[in-house]
Amino acid sequence: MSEQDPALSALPVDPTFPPSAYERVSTLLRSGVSGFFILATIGMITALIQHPSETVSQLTASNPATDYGSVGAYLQQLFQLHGDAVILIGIFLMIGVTVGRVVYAMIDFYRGGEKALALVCGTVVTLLVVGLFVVGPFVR
Amino acid sequence: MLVIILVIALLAVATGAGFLGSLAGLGGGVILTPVLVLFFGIPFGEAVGASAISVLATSTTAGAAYVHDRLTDLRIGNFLQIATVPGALIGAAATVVLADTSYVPYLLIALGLVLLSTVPGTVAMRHETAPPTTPGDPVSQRLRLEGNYYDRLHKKVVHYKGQSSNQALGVMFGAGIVAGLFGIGSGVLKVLALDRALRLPMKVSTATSNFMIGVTATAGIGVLFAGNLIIPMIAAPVAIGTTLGAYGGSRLLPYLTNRLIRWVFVVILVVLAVETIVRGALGV
Repeated sequence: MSEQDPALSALPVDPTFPPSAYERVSTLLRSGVSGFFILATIGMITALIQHPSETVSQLTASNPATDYGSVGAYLQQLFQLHGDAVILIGIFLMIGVTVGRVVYAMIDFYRGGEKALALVCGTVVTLLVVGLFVVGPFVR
Repeated sequence: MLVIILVIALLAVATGAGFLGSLAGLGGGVILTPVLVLFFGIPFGEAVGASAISVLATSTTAGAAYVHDRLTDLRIGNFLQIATVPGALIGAAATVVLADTSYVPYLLIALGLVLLSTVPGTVAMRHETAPPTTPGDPVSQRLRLEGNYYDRLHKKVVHYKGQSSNQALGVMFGAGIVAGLFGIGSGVLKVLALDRALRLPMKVSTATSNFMIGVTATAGIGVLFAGNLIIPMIAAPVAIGTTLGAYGGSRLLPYLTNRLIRWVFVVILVVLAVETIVRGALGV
Protein backbone atom coordinates (compact mmCIF):
# COMPACT_ATOMS: atom_id res chain seq x y z
CA MET A 1 0.00 0.00 0.00
CA SER A 2 1.30 3.38 -0.81
CA GLU A 3 0.35 6.93 -0.01
CA GLN A 4 -2.08 6.73 -2.96
CA ASP A 5 -4.05 4.01 -1.16
CA PRO A 6 -7.58 5.48 -1.29
CA ALA A 7 -8.44 3.89 2.04
CA LEU A 8 -5.64 5.75 3.81
CA SER A 9 -6.19 9.01 1.98
CA ALA A 10 -9.79 8.97 3.28
CA LEU A 11 -8.48 9.40 6.82
CA PRO A 12 -8.49 12.88 8.34
CA VAL A 13 -4.96 14.21 8.78
CA ASP A 14 -3.60 14.78 12.28
CA PRO A 15 -1.39 17.90 11.92
CA THR A 16 1.06 16.46 14.48
CA PHE A 17 1.31 13.12 12.69
CA PRO A 18 0.77 13.65 8.95
CA PRO A 19 0.95 10.59 6.67
CA SER A 20 4.66 11.28 6.13
CA ALA A 21 5.27 10.75 9.86
CA TYR A 22 3.72 7.28 9.66
CA GLU A 23 5.77 6.47 6.57
CA ARG A 24 8.95 7.62 8.29
CA VAL A 25 8.36 5.48 11.40
CA SER A 26 7.38 2.47 9.29
CA THR A 27 10.51 2.78 7.15
CA LEU A 28 12.65 3.17 10.27
CA LEU A 29 11.21 0.00 11.81
CA ARG A 30 11.54 -1.98 8.58
CA SER A 31 15.17 -0.91 8.14
CA GLY A 32 15.99 -1.77 11.74
CA VAL A 33 14.56 -5.25 11.67
CA SER A 34 16.10 -5.99 8.24
CA GLY A 35 19.49 -4.87 9.52
CA PHE A 36 19.08 -7.03 12.61
CA PHE A 37 18.22 -10.08 10.53
CA ILE A 38 21.22 -9.67 8.25
CA LEU A 39 23.69 -8.98 11.07
CA ALA A 40 22.31 -11.68 13.39
CA THR A 41 22.46 -14.28 10.62
CA ILE A 42 26.01 -13.33 9.60
CA GLY A 43 27.10 -13.24 13.25
CA MET A 44 25.53 -16.59 14.05
CA ILE A 45 27.13 -18.35 11.08
CA THR A 46 30.47 -16.69 11.78
CA ALA A 47 30.40 -17.72 15.45
CA LEU A 48 29.56 -21.31 14.54
CA ILE A 49 32.47 -21.41 12.07
CA GLN A 50 34.84 -19.81 14.58
CA HIS A 51 33.84 -22.08 17.49
CA PRO A 52 32.60 -25.34 15.94
CA SER A 53 33.08 -27.43 19.07
CA GLU A 54 31.80 -24.98 21.68
CA THR A 55 29.32 -26.52 24.09
CA VAL A 56 26.20 -24.99 25.61
CA SER A 57 27.66 -25.08 29.13
CA GLN A 58 30.71 -23.13 27.89
CA LEU A 59 28.38 -20.64 26.22
CA THR A 60 26.27 -19.99 29.31
CA ALA A 61 29.23 -20.08 31.74
CA SER A 62 30.95 -17.14 30.10
CA ASN A 63 28.85 -14.59 28.26
CA PRO A 64 31.07 -13.24 25.45
CA ALA A 65 28.96 -10.11 25.25
CA THR A 66 30.14 -9.01 28.66
CA ASP A 67 33.69 -10.31 28.39
CA TYR A 68 34.57 -7.44 26.10
CA GLY A 69 34.95 -5.25 29.15
CA SER A 70 35.14 -1.96 27.29
CA VAL A 71 33.90 -0.32 24.12
CA GLY A 72 37.46 -0.47 22.72
CA ALA A 73 37.74 -4.22 23.36
CA TYR A 74 34.34 -4.73 21.81
CA LEU A 75 35.23 -2.75 18.68
CA GLN A 76 38.42 -4.76 18.33
CA GLN A 77 36.40 -7.98 18.35
CA LEU A 78 33.97 -6.46 15.89
CA PHE A 79 36.74 -5.53 13.45
CA GLN A 80 37.99 -9.11 13.71
CA LEU A 81 34.44 -10.20 12.74
CA HIS A 82 33.84 -11.98 16.01
CA GLY A 83 30.40 -13.61 15.60
CA ASP A 84 28.95 -12.49 18.93
CA ALA A 85 30.12 -8.92 18.34
CA VAL A 86 28.35 -8.87 14.95
CA ILE A 87 25.09 -10.14 16.49
CA LEU A 88 25.36 -7.46 19.16
CA ILE A 89 25.55 -4.77 16.48
CA GLY A 90 22.24 -6.12 15.15
CA ILE A 91 20.70 -5.97 18.62
CA PHE A 92 22.02 -2.44 19.17
CA LEU A 93 20.57 -1.45 15.81
CA MET A 94 17.11 -2.65 16.84
CA ILE A 95 17.41 -0.87 20.19
CA GLY A 96 18.55 2.28 18.39
CA VAL A 97 15.60 2.11 16.01
CA THR A 98 13.18 1.78 18.91
CA VAL A 99 14.71 4.73 20.74
CA GLY A 100 14.75 6.60 17.42
CA ARG A 101 11.03 6.22 16.90
CA VAL A 102 10.34 7.75 20.34
CA VAL A 103 12.71 10.61 19.49
CA TYR A 104 10.82 11.13 16.19
CA ALA A 105 7.55 11.30 18.13
CA MET A 106 9.07 13.77 20.60
CA ILE A 107 10.12 16.06 17.73
CA ASP A 108 6.72 15.72 16.02
CA PHE A 109 4.87 16.55 19.25
CA TYR A 110 7.15 19.51 19.91
CA ARG A 111 6.71 20.87 16.37
CA GLY A 112 2.95 20.37 16.69
CA GLY A 113 2.95 22.53 19.83
CA GLU A 114 2.01 19.60 22.07
CA LYS A 115 4.59 20.19 24.73
CA ALA A 116 3.09 17.85 27.34
CA LEU A 117 3.33 14.86 25.00
CA ALA A 118 6.80 15.96 23.83
CA LEU A 119 7.82 15.95 27.50
CA VAL A 120 6.34 12.45 27.94
CA CYS A 121 8.43 11.18 25.01
CA GLY A 122 11.53 12.95 26.33
CA THR A 123 11.02 11.25 29.68
CA VAL A 124 10.64 7.85 27.99
CA VAL A 125 13.89 8.34 26.04
CA THR A 126 15.65 9.37 29.26
CA LEU A 127 14.30 6.29 31.06
CA LEU A 128 15.51 4.01 28.25
CA VAL A 129 19.00 5.48 28.48
CA VAL A 130 18.94 5.35 32.29
CA GLY A 131 17.96 1.67 32.12
CA LEU A 132 20.96 0.82 29.98
CA PHE A 133 23.60 2.96 31.66
CA VAL A 134 22.40 3.33 35.26
CA VAL A 135 19.81 0.76 36.38
CA GLY A 136 21.46 -2.25 34.71
CA PRO A 137 25.02 -1.65 35.94
CA PHE A 138 23.68 -0.65 39.38
CA VAL A 139 21.71 -3.84 40.00
CA ARG A 140 24.28 -6.15 38.37
CA MET B 1 25.41 -30.40 23.78
CA LEU B 2 27.19 -28.53 20.99
CA VAL B 3 26.15 -24.94 20.35
CA ILE B 4 25.42 -25.69 16.69
CA ILE B 5 22.81 -28.27 17.74
CA LEU B 6 21.34 -25.80 20.22
CA VAL B 7 21.14 -23.10 17.52
CA ILE B 8 19.34 -25.42 15.09
CA ALA B 9 16.95 -26.62 17.82
CA LEU B 10 16.27 -23.04 18.97
CA LEU B 11 15.58 -21.92 15.40
CA ALA B 12 13.09 -24.78 14.94
CA VAL B 13 11.30 -24.33 18.27
CA ALA B 14 11.19 -20.54 18.01
CA THR B 15 9.80 -20.75 14.47
CA GLY B 16 7.05 -23.06 15.73
CA ALA B 17 6.33 -20.76 18.69
CA GLY B 18 6.15 -17.69 16.45
CA PHE B 19 3.95 -19.50 13.94
CA LEU B 20 1.44 -20.79 16.47
CA GLY B 21 1.60 -17.59 18.50
CA SER B 22 0.72 -15.40 15.54
CA LEU B 23 -2.14 -17.69 14.50
CA ALA B 24 -3.49 -17.64 18.05
CA GLY B 25 -3.29 -13.85 18.14
CA LEU B 26 -0.66 -13.94 20.87
CA GLY B 27 3.06 -13.36 20.45
CA GLY B 28 5.14 -16.52 20.50
CA GLY B 29 7.36 -14.86 23.10
CA VAL B 30 4.99 -15.82 25.87
CA ILE B 31 6.02 -19.48 25.67
CA LEU B 32 9.70 -18.96 24.89
CA THR B 33 11.01 -18.24 28.39
CA PRO B 34 9.53 -21.42 29.91
CA VAL B 35 10.57 -23.52 26.89
CA LEU B 36 14.17 -22.26 27.10
CA VAL B 37 14.33 -22.94 30.83
CA LEU B 38 12.45 -26.25 30.96
CA PHE B 39 13.60 -27.97 27.78
CA PHE B 40 16.94 -26.40 26.90
CA GLY B 41 18.33 -25.91 30.41
CA ILE B 42 19.07 -22.24 29.74
CA PRO B 43 19.41 -20.32 33.04
CA PHE B 44 16.29 -18.27 33.89
CA GLY B 45 17.90 -14.82 33.45
CA GLU B 46 19.49 -15.67 30.08
CA ALA B 47 16.18 -17.18 28.89
CA VAL B 48 14.41 -13.93 29.79
CA GLY B 49 17.09 -11.99 27.88
CA ALA B 50 16.71 -14.12 24.73
CA SER B 51 12.93 -13.96 24.87
CA ALA B 52 12.98 -10.17 25.27
CA ILE B 53 15.11 -9.83 22.11
CA SER B 54 12.67 -12.03 20.19
CA VAL B 55 9.74 -9.95 21.45
CA LEU B 56 11.50 -6.79 20.21
CA ALA B 57 12.19 -8.32 16.78
CA THR B 58 8.64 -9.63 16.33
CA SER B 59 7.03 -6.39 17.47
CA THR B 60 9.28 -4.30 15.20
CA THR B 61 8.40 -6.47 12.19
CA ALA B 62 4.64 -6.32 12.79
CA GLY B 63 4.86 -2.70 13.93
CA ALA B 64 6.26 -1.58 10.57
CA ALA B 65 3.15 -2.91 8.79
CA TYR B 66 0.65 -1.59 11.35
CA VAL B 67 2.20 1.89 11.36
CA HIS B 68 2.23 1.92 7.56
CA ASP B 69 -1.51 1.13 7.53
CA ARG B 70 -2.06 3.85 10.14
CA LEU B 71 -3.74 1.38 12.47
CA THR B 72 -1.28 2.27 15.24
CA ASP B 73 -2.28 5.29 17.29
CA LEU B 74 1.09 7.04 17.66
CA ARG B 75 -0.38 9.63 20.03
CA ILE B 76 -1.84 7.10 22.51
CA GLY B 77 1.01 4.60 22.12
CA ASN B 78 3.66 7.19 22.88
CA PHE B 79 1.67 8.57 25.81
CA LEU B 80 1.14 5.21 27.55
CA GLN B 81 4.83 4.31 27.31
CA ILE B 82 5.35 6.63 30.26
CA ALA B 83 3.81 3.82 32.36
CA THR B 84 5.14 0.66 30.68
CA VAL B 85 8.79 1.75 30.53
CA PRO B 86 9.28 2.35 34.30
CA GLY B 87 7.43 -0.93 34.90
CA ALA B 88 9.77 -2.77 32.55
CA LEU B 89 12.83 -1.24 34.20
CA ILE B 90 11.62 -2.44 37.61
CA GLY B 91 10.75 -5.91 36.29
CA ALA B 92 14.04 -6.38 34.45
CA ALA B 93 16.03 -5.07 37.43
CA ALA B 94 14.27 -7.66 39.61
CA THR B 95 15.24 -10.39 37.13
CA VAL B 96 18.89 -9.29 37.15
CA VAL B 97 18.93 -9.29 40.97
CA LEU B 98 17.07 -12.59 41.39
CA ALA B 99 18.38 -14.56 38.39
CA ASP B 100 21.18 -16.35 40.24
CA THR B 101 19.50 -16.67 43.61
CA SER B 102 17.35 -19.24 45.36
CA TYR B 103 14.30 -17.18 44.34
CA VAL B 104 14.31 -18.58 40.78
CA PRO B 105 11.76 -21.30 41.67
CA TYR B 106 9.38 -18.56 42.87
CA LEU B 107 9.92 -16.70 39.59
CA LEU B 108 9.05 -19.90 37.72
CA ILE B 109 5.84 -20.27 39.72
CA ALA B 110 4.96 -16.65 39.03
CA LEU B 111 5.71 -17.14 35.33
CA GLY B 112 3.47 -20.20 35.25
CA LEU B 113 0.66 -18.19 36.82
CA VAL B 114 1.16 -15.39 34.28
CA LEU B 115 0.93 -17.98 31.47
CA LEU B 116 -2.31 -19.34 32.94
CA SER B 117 -3.71 -15.82 33.25
CA THR B 118 -3.30 -15.28 29.50
CA VAL B 119 -5.50 -18.28 28.68
CA PRO B 120 -8.90 -16.56 29.08
CA GLY B 121 -7.75 -13.67 26.87
CA THR B 122 -6.57 -16.14 24.24
CA VAL B 123 -9.75 -18.21 24.31
CA ALA B 124 -12.15 -15.29 24.27
CA MET B 125 -13.06 -14.24 20.77
CA ARG B 126 -12.89 -10.49 20.69
CA HIS B 127 -15.51 -8.74 18.66
CA GLU B 128 -15.35 -5.37 17.06
CA THR B 129 -17.87 -3.00 18.65
CA ALA B 130 -18.51 0.63 17.85
CA PRO B 131 -16.12 2.73 19.98
CA PRO B 132 -17.60 5.45 22.18
CA THR B 133 -17.40 8.95 20.77
CA THR B 134 -18.25 10.65 24.05
CA PRO B 135 -15.48 12.82 25.52
CA GLY B 136 -13.03 10.91 27.69
CA ASP B 137 -11.59 11.88 31.06
CA PRO B 138 -9.88 15.29 31.45
CA VAL B 139 -6.39 13.92 30.67
CA SER B 140 -7.63 12.18 27.51
CA GLN B 141 -9.32 15.39 26.41
CA ARG B 142 -6.37 17.63 27.19
CA LEU B 143 -3.90 15.37 25.36
CA ARG B 144 -6.36 14.67 22.53
CA LEU B 145 -6.17 10.90 22.98
CA GLU B 146 -8.37 10.19 19.99
CA GLY B 147 -7.98 9.28 16.36
CA ASN B 148 -9.33 7.57 13.25
CA TYR B 149 -8.64 4.42 11.31
CA TYR B 150 -9.96 2.97 8.08
CA ASP B 151 -11.98 -0.20 8.58
CA ARG B 152 -11.32 -2.17 5.39
CA LEU B 153 -14.04 -4.70 6.17
CA HIS B 154 -16.81 -2.14 6.49
CA LYS B 155 -15.13 0.31 4.13
CA LYS B 156 -15.47 3.33 6.39
CA VAL B 157 -13.46 5.67 8.56
CA VAL B 158 -13.97 4.95 12.27
CA HIS B 159 -13.45 7.73 14.81
CA TYR B 160 -12.71 6.94 18.44
CA LYS B 161 -12.01 8.84 21.66
CA GLY B 162 -9.87 7.48 24.51
CA GLN B 163 -11.89 7.23 27.74
CA SER B 164 -10.18 6.41 31.03
CA SER B 165 -6.49 7.22 30.69
CA ASN B 166 -5.69 6.84 34.42
CA GLN B 167 -6.95 3.25 34.48
CA ALA B 168 -5.00 2.53 31.30
CA LEU B 169 -1.81 3.93 32.82
CA GLY B 170 -2.22 1.69 35.89
CA VAL B 171 -2.70 -1.47 33.83
CA MET B 172 0.19 -0.49 31.56
CA PHE B 173 2.53 -0.10 34.54
CA GLY B 174 1.66 -3.65 35.62
CA ALA B 175 2.12 -4.89 32.04
CA GLY B 176 5.57 -3.29 31.99
CA ILE B 177 6.62 -5.04 35.20
CA VAL B 178 5.49 -8.44 33.89
CA ALA B 179 7.20 -7.81 30.53
CA GLY B 180 10.50 -6.82 32.13
CA LEU B 181 10.43 -9.64 34.67
CA PHE B 182 9.76 -12.49 32.23
CA GLY B 183 10.91 -11.15 28.85
CA ILE B 184 7.43 -11.40 27.37
CA GLY B 185 5.35 -8.86 25.47
CA SER B 186 2.45 -8.69 27.95
CA GLY B 187 0.26 -7.99 24.95
CA VAL B 188 -2.80 -9.42 26.71
CA LEU B 189 -2.49 -6.83 29.50
CA LYS B 190 -1.71 -4.00 27.11
CA VAL B 191 -4.68 -4.81 24.92
CA LEU B 192 -6.79 -4.97 28.10
CA ALA B 193 -5.78 -1.40 28.96
CA LEU B 194 -6.42 -0.12 25.45
CA ASP B 195 -9.59 -2.15 24.92
CA ARG B 196 -11.32 -1.89 28.28
CA ALA B 197 -9.93 1.30 29.86
CA LEU B 198 -9.45 3.55 26.84
CA ARG B 199 -12.14 1.65 24.88
CA LEU B 200 -10.31 1.82 21.57
CA PRO B 201 -11.43 -0.29 18.60
CA MET B 202 -9.97 -3.81 18.60
CA LYS B 203 -7.71 -3.32 15.57
CA VAL B 204 -6.29 -0.08 16.93
CA SER B 205 -5.76 -1.73 20.36
CA THR B 206 -3.85 -4.62 18.81
CA ALA B 207 -1.68 -2.42 16.59
CA THR B 208 -0.96 0.14 19.32
CA SER B 209 -0.19 -2.61 21.85
CA ASN B 210 2.27 -4.09 19.35
CA PHE B 211 3.91 -0.69 18.89
CA MET B 212 4.31 -0.31 22.65
CA ILE B 213 5.64 -3.85 23.15
CA GLY B 214 8.84 -2.91 21.29
CA VAL B 215 9.59 0.10 23.50
CA THR B 216 8.75 -1.85 26.67
CA ALA B 217 11.02 -4.70 25.56
CA THR B 218 13.82 -2.23 24.82
CA ALA B 219 13.60 -0.83 28.36
CA GLY B 220 13.95 -4.34 29.77
CA ILE B 221 16.71 -5.30 27.32
CA GLY B 222 18.84 -2.32 28.38
CA VAL B 223 18.79 -3.49 31.98
CA LEU B 224 19.20 -7.18 31.10
CA PHE B 225 22.12 -6.38 28.80
CA ALA B 226 23.90 -4.37 31.45
CA GLY B 227 23.14 -7.21 33.85
CA ASN B 228 24.97 -9.72 31.56
CA LEU B 229 21.81 -11.64 30.73
CA ILE B 230 21.82 -11.26 26.92
CA ILE B 231 23.81 -14.07 25.27
CA PRO B 232 23.97 -13.26 21.54
CA MET B 233 24.20 -16.88 20.36
CA ILE B 234 21.02 -17.76 22.25
CA ALA B 235 19.13 -14.54 21.52
CA ALA B 236 19.81 -14.50 17.75
CA PRO B 237 18.33 -17.86 16.73
CA VAL B 238 15.36 -17.35 19.05
CA ALA B 239 14.63 -13.89 17.61
CA ILE B 240 15.10 -14.97 13.99
CA GLY B 241 13.01 -18.12 14.43
CA THR B 242 10.14 -16.40 16.22
CA THR B 243 9.94 -13.59 13.69
CA LEU B 244 10.07 -15.94 10.69
CA GLY B 245 7.42 -18.13 12.30
CA ALA B 246 5.20 -15.14 13.08
CA TYR B 247 5.60 -13.89 9.50
CA GLY B 248 4.73 -17.33 8.10
CA GLY B 249 1.74 -17.53 10.44
CA SER B 250 0.43 -14.16 9.35
CA ARG B 251 0.71 -15.19 5.66
CA LEU B 252 -1.08 -18.49 6.24
CA LEU B 253 -3.72 -17.10 8.58
CA PRO B 254 -6.36 -16.47 5.88
CA TYR B 255 -6.15 -20.09 4.72
CA LEU B 256 -6.32 -21.86 8.08
CA THR B 257 -9.05 -22.48 10.60
CA ASN B 258 -7.99 -20.04 13.25
CA ARG B 259 -10.15 -21.59 15.95
CA LEU B 260 -8.44 -25.00 15.97
CA ILE B 261 -4.96 -23.47 16.07
CA ARG B 262 -6.05 -21.17 18.87
CA TRP B 263 -7.03 -24.21 20.93
CA VAL B 264 -3.79 -26.02 20.10
CA PHE B 265 -1.90 -22.99 21.37
CA VAL B 266 -4.05 -22.85 24.51
CA VAL B 267 -3.29 -26.51 25.27
CA ILE B 268 0.46 -25.86 24.83
CA LEU B 269 0.13 -22.78 27.04
CA VAL B 270 -1.65 -24.68 29.82
CA VAL B 271 0.76 -27.64 29.72
CA LEU B 272 3.75 -25.29 29.83
CA ALA B 273 2.22 -23.25 32.64
CA VAL B 274 1.55 -26.34 34.77
CA GLU B 275 5.02 -27.75 34.03
CA THR B 276 6.61 -24.40 34.95
CA ILE B 277 4.67 -24.19 38.22
CA VAL B 278 5.47 -27.82 39.13
CA ARG B 279 9.18 -27.39 38.37
CA GLY B 280 9.19 -24.17 40.37
CA ALA B 281 7.41 -25.85 43.29
CA LEU B 282 9.91 -28.70 43.20
CA GLY B 283 12.73 -26.17 43.16
CA VAL B 284 14.15 -27.54 39.88
